[in-house]
Amino acid sequence: MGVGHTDLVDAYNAGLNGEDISRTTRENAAAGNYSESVEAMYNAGQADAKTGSVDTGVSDLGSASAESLQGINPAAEMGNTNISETETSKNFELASTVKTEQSGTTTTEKSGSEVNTELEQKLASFGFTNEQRAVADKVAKTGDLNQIPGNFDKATVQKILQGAEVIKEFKSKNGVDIRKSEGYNNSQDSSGSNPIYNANGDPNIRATRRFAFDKIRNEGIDVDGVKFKLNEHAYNSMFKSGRKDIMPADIIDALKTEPIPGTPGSIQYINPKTGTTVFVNPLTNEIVGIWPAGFNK
Amino acid sequence: MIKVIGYSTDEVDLSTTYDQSARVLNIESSSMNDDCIPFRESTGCMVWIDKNKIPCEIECIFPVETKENNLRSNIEIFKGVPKIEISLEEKPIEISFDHSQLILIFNKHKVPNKKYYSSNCSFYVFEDELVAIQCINYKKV
Repeated sequence: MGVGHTDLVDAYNAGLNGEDISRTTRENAAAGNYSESVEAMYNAGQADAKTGSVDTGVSDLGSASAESLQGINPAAEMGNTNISETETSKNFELASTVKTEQSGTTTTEKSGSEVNTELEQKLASFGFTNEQRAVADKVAKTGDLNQIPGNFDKATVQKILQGAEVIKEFKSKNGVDIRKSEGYNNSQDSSGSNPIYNANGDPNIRATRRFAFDKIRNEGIDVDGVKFKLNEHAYNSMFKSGRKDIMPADIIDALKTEPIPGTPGSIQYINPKTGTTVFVNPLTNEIVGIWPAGFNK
Repeated sequence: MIKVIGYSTDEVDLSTTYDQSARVLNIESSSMNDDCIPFRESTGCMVWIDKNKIPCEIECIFPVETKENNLRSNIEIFKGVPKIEISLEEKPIEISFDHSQLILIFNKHKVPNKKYYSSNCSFYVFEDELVAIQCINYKKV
């Protein structure tokens, strides 16, 4: 992915600067069968060079008013949760056995679920099996959805997520360490667990996004050796109506694909599984827009 | 292409922002919500519409900046917001702006013969095709 991306950027820059595409870029493109994309990026660079940045100068057509200062994207402020490291002494240890089947193999592991009578009463309505209860505990503790075995059906996953929230809330109130839930947003890991691409309106999953997007905005994100930044507009848009279900894993996996030319001056990465499009400024490697799949695309 | 199939006389509050450094244009109405459905108008333009076909948000990535526009003043005028249907059509989206207004141009080759206006935006239409949107009091960042 990195080679193709670099070549597209080089091609765009060549077009922008009125230079020829380098021999290396052409050879890479030919070898990688993306010569057409390189040509398109070169043309895009040329088009941008012709357009340039434009001052104002539209003809007078409407009433002139003072520029509005009213914003449309109020970024909600959200601080990181303070997390206590202490554990309540009311808890005692229960060793439960978890059997997880993945890729045809069965593994058995011990789960150190902590039991509290009050907590168990809160969880009784879920009707968890021992296995499900242990998984809910793990999810609550780590925030890692990859802890949920792939053979669980959707209803069970929902139940586990809700139970995990109950556990987190309970333990948080009682001063038990609950880690931040960035794990909800991991892309596919080495174990092959499925990432969560879409929150599907689930408030529990949606609630995990802020921390992950904050981190990407502040630190950038490294995808297959390429560092991407997330600009303020794209960050804010993730919390607007119509995009609240897009999970970071969806974006990360899009960025793992080969980019294709977007509008002149941009390239786009499309997650083939979801259709989510990530627009990137190839000059700055900045993510400038993220769109869900359109219904007519 | 954006086809106009009717219009609503309900008042809709629209606000427009152009982030010139990121080169992203956004027009959003007060009625935008999670139930709105996204449609691609072109590679660089996404439109969210509600169940009544009213556009609730339009976002354009890297529109082409131009000094020209295709608007005319001597045309039929209706108060309201058009109801629309969207089909994917690959063509550049252009914008033209000054200190007081921004014009989003979907089709510069067609001269509009009517417009619908609501709040800060006017929708310019040729026959049944939405060809431009004029936004006043926009915010440039």
